[in-house]
Amino acid sequence: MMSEQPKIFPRNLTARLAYQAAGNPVSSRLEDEVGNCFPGLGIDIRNLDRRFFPGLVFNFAGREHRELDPEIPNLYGARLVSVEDECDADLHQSNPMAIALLAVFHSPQGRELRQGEWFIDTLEQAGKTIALYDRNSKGERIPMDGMAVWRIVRSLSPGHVGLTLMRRDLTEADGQHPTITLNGWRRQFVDPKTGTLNEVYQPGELVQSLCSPWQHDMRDCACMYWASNRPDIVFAEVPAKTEEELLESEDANLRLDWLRSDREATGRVFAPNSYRKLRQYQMDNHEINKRWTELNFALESREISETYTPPERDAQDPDETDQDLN
Amino acid sequence: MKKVTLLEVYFLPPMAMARLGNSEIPLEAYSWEEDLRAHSACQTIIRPQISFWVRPDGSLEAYLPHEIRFKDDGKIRPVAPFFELWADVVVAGEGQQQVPVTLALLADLGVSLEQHLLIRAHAANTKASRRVKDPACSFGARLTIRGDDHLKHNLLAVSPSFPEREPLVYEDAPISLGHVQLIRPVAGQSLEQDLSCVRVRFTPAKGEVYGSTEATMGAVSPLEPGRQLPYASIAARMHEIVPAANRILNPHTPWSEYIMDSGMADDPQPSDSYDGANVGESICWGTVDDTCEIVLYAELTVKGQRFTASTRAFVAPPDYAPDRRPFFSMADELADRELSPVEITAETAELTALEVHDLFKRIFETTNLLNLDASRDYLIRENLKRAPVDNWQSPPHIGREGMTKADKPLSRLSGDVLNDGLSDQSQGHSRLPYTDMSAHAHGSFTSLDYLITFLKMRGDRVRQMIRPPFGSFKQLPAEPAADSHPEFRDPRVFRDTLHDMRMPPYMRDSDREPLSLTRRQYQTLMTFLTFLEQQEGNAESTAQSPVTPASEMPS
Repeated sequence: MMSEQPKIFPRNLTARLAYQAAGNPVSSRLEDEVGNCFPGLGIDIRNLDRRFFPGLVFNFAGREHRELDPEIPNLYGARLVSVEDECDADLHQSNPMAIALLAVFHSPQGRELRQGEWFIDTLEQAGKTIALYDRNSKGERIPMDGMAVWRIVRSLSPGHVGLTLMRRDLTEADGQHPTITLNGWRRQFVDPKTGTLNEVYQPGELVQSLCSPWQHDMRDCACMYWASNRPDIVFAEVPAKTEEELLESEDANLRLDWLRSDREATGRVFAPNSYRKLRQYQMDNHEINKRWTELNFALESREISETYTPPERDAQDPDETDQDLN
Repeated sequence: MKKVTLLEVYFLPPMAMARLGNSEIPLEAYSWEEDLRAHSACQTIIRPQISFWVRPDGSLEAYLPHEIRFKDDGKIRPVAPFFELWADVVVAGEGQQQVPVTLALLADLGVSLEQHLLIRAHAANTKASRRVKDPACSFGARLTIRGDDHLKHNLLAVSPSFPEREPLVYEDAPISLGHVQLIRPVAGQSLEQDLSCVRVRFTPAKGEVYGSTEATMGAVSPLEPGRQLPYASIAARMHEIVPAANRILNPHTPWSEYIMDSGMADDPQPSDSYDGANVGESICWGTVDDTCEIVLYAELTVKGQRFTASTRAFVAPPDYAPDRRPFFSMADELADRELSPVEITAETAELTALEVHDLFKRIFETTNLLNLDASRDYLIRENLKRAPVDNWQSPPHIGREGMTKADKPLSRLSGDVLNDGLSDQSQGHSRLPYTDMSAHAHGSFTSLDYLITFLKMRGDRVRQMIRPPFGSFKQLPAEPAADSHPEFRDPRVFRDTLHDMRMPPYMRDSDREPLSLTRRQYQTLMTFLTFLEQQEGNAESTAQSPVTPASEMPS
């Protein structure tokens, strides 16, 4: 008898995402894709936030070694990439806030935004303003790194947002950088009725920051969060057909490094406990571009060759059988 | 014939994952279900479901496989999702209904496939153009398929042409991003599946890598991920980068000259995620893959009005562990952004218990395949690069003491098992002591009764053990506090960006910081703890009040 424990919970899904289309494996569902992404394997969801404010597109410019002071601090933060008020369906004329925002985009201020290096300087929501600055090792105020800015943008709730943009490549006579303040709202990313992603996102945009090629990250990301799709460790395949045979197998508890380069018997050794020790025995970059198909699928945490046969369902509960007979 | 008025058309599912594979045969359908064998620990297994074989004429035949085949002679089967076209209609005398678009519905609407339906597709790969800020380094494909065309259409992608810019993918050497096929609807059923529905199938590409003629053999770093191998100490292994047949890209684009962290490119993070990174000067080899994001559109013209629907698929690598589910999925991420917090009442308590139980099961499933010893070791070293001195004397510690007896009482279990926490030393008979301990600890929670009892009895411990998520904007103070808040983290508070043993331990979030549950998951769990405590306290009372998520702290 199988459990009634559900695996899909519509209450926790955006519109229409609970639907299971016939013929599709469950691995086509968004519940099967890892959500936390740095940068991710199938979607880099952080790209939603580059258009969090209707009409504007940002890049979150970060740096690799945040433990070090940046040489040129002004390069980092949320950089305005473009003003795209003409092709943003959320800025339709029936929305009074959109009309006001469009008026700014079409004003001399809006034209100023289209030239120079503009970054988000402050964010405001519900009467609170957060300035996007950090401190370097000397305690000096420097622009916040793009990833930290992203985290604060990600923290916004749907609803009104005010933002101040600062032009960093221009200093006015008073020694200050020009600023422009806009009032808008945090975009609704998923349509609450259709369940589709907002069409302002262009094909390719949600995956644009993933690895190129994808195999590079399959190999070289210090992932630590992809194990459910890309295992770190797996139990070795053994030729057992029954649970009893499995328990008696010498290799039943042999836990392998999944990414090992040596796929033969000589590679069947216990996975070490640090990346330093296991790295030299793993597939390399470039090598994995060709050999990714050799990586094994793992079912019930154990590698398989090509097919998986699920266990037989247990015999029905006798009480249920009796009911059926009645 | 019914009198039907069409209000809307839409695709189901509204979003889906496709997964690369180089076999010609797509992966069959399967679902997740509970394994209740005696020694299974109630883990999730997969079971075959009704699948479709696409006949040569483009129509479907349903069948139920007995096993799931993931590879054919070493070639991986792709995940090629079907998308069904649905309609919101008003049927005279019956009212408003949501129904699949079938041949019968089209007849009721007075329209035909060949004259009134178009399927459009737009797929693109913009990874290189994002890096170098040059649209000519993107490549994409567009298709338009008439409603009576049921052939497989190849998405042959090329780079757009612009004056004075070099296209990455030449027009005469396109890259296939997969195929789109409008399935031929036919009257009738097969295994209770209505074959007359309008369906579109997207089959992703084969997982090929492409480059220019220069992408022949390349040195690779033998170091850990993220570590730079300087030319001066090159001890690299060499491998072919791109097969000769795929060296078709233009070698004269900015993509072949890209170097991360130059300060000129708004590098996405992590920036070292391309072939060529972390070796010498990190010059890009100019390689691309055949993944993409595709938007499919349906246009149905009825009585002079065009109704449109769209859906979207993202192409990902294979899911190599298809019965192990992420506890922080893309669906959870979208819910966290768009849905209200869960409110727990007497009516929803049972459902919430199942949801919380499922969350703990997903955590267990992930820990089954996670090398916690290695990730702990790696991220403690990352911590120590950023904070060489542990300025926080109380547990949880950020250094080698993390998840050892020094972290007691937080590390109640690991503190007893692991005395010194030096992962490099074998702990008794276990080679991966943290990994084993994690699986052991979470295995207990696969029992719903045990989990509920634990949450009731040890609610305070759970509150301490679970790492809070980063706060909402409403929670974050205008100026960062000097140290951590117990209920949320702040990206401006340095301690909140360091790894420690709190759950989930030694894993990364989307900003490279320590991973937490989503805010919504965290709120649900914390609210459920409060509900259980109230339930215990009110065991003899007659009424319970609903428990809503704790109000967020004003700044």
